[in-house]
Amino acid sequence: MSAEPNGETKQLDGDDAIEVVNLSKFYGERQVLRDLNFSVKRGEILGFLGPNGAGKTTTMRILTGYMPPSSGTARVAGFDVIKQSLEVRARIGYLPETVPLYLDMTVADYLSFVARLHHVKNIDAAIDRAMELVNIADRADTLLGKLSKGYKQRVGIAQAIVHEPDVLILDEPTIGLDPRQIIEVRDLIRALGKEHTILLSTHILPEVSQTCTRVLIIRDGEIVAEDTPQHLGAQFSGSEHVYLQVANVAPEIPKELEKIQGVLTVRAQETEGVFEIETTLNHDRRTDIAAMAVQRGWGVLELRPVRLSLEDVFLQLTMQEQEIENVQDMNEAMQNG
Amino acid sequence: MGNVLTIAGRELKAYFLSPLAWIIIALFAFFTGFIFVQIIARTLVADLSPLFQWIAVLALILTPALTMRLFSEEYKLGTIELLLTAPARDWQIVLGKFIAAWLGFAVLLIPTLWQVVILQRYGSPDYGILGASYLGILLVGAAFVGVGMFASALTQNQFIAYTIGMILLLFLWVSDAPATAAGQSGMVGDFFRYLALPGHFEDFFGGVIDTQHLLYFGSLAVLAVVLTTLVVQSRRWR
Repeated sequence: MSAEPNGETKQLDGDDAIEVVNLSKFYGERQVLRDLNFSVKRGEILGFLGPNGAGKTTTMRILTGYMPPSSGTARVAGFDVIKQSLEVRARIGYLPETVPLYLDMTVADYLSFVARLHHVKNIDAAIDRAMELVNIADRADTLLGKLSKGYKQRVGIAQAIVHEPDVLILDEPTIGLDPRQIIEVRDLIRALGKEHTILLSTHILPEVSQTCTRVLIIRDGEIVAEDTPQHLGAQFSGSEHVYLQVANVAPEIPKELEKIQGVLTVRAQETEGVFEIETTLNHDRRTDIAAMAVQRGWGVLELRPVRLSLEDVFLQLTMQEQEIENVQDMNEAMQNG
Repeated sequence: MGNVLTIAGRELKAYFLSPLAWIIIALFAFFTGFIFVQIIARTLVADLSPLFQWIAVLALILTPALTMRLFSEEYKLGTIELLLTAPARDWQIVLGKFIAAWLGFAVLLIPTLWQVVILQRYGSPDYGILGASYLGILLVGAAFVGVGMFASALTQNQFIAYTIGMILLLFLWVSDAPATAAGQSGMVGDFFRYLALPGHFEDFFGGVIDTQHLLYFGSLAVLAVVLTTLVVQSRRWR
């Protein structure tokens, strides 16, 4: 099916396990992916973050060979997803958003079917290993239809890893789980990240900061931000913020603080003695602030950097301004009410 | 071939695990037995050819029930995503399912062997005719299973799949009726007359194996597998 002989392109260009170049997808007239470009390095856990309908699932379906892109290319483990689809599919473990379970099969039967489909040599050993990893060995003979949501999700992950793929693609792996199950699945993903390259999608923010090494925020089929979860906060505020609380409140404090080089604004907060100080990016002014506070005898109670939470960044990037105001209004209303 | 067998194996297992399959088998066995008794009591001849006509009618009604879940269920459960992202080609998935359903159809015929045993016990049936009849009904089954599978690939609703399958088969069965009634000749009339199923299976039940009919059923089955593959593939482009 491919013009290129298998194996020829197997060696990887660099360390990229996934490489996406100018990927676009139309559903009829509607464009759901616009010129997507990104790569995932070997061993990385990349979080794909975006509101529902942003194009996360579409991207994943293209990478797994479920559907072709309208234009652009993508390579997984060095193979082209269009021209070498079977090679790609053999190297990917995929958990679709709807866990694909045959409800009338037992866990072991099901995993053995998936292993067979992936031409696994030692099937018994492979399914034992997979069941052990996701901690479902005790349910091997249970019918899938009788499992709880959490167990179903684990079986879904087990089927994705049973053939020990290079790359794991997980579409909303924690959706519909209760908090305890979510923590379990996240721990599992982190553990799997030691051996696999993982691309996971989610629209839940804490998920990304807790499991991923890098985040990619997608909106309306476009990547709007890409960084580590920690960096995104600073990067998108355009400045850094410092929280200062002092014991001895004096009216001249804001004015004095603004004299420090690099300090942009100082705002007194509602709580007495609390100030939020905005400084230029990449200049930590905390030592200067502390020195001044000590010198003037303000009595520092607390001094710490404030980062925009990932949630703020996400809202900024994925919503129109009006929507952000609405959300802020809502938050305020909730706090006040 | 490994992929085809993997798919067929799972399909067969699922088939015999579902109560529906056993209901269909029971219905089939009951009606063939009932008709057998009626025919033998009346004719007192060790000849199963009238029975095979009725088996074909039963197959028309029951085969779409046998095939309706083949793809509809995969769409509904989302398991189609598992199959289409596994390292297997679309035609292998379709062929695997076809083989499983065809074997399932063959299982329906097993209870009728009991009637052959009865004929042997009390008379002397013509095994040449019987062999040709079983071959014929298996070929009918291949075509029916193919058409039913195609219908199943069109929708995620099993009831709709059954209905479409049934309508397609009915159309094939009576496709010669308008042309014959109108006494229409020419290409179109001939084509629809050729398409009609009964003209192709009746020879088998009379003990005649005609390559023309083998070709007819073979083509129908192959066409159904190809069209089903295209339908499944089209999901990738939507």
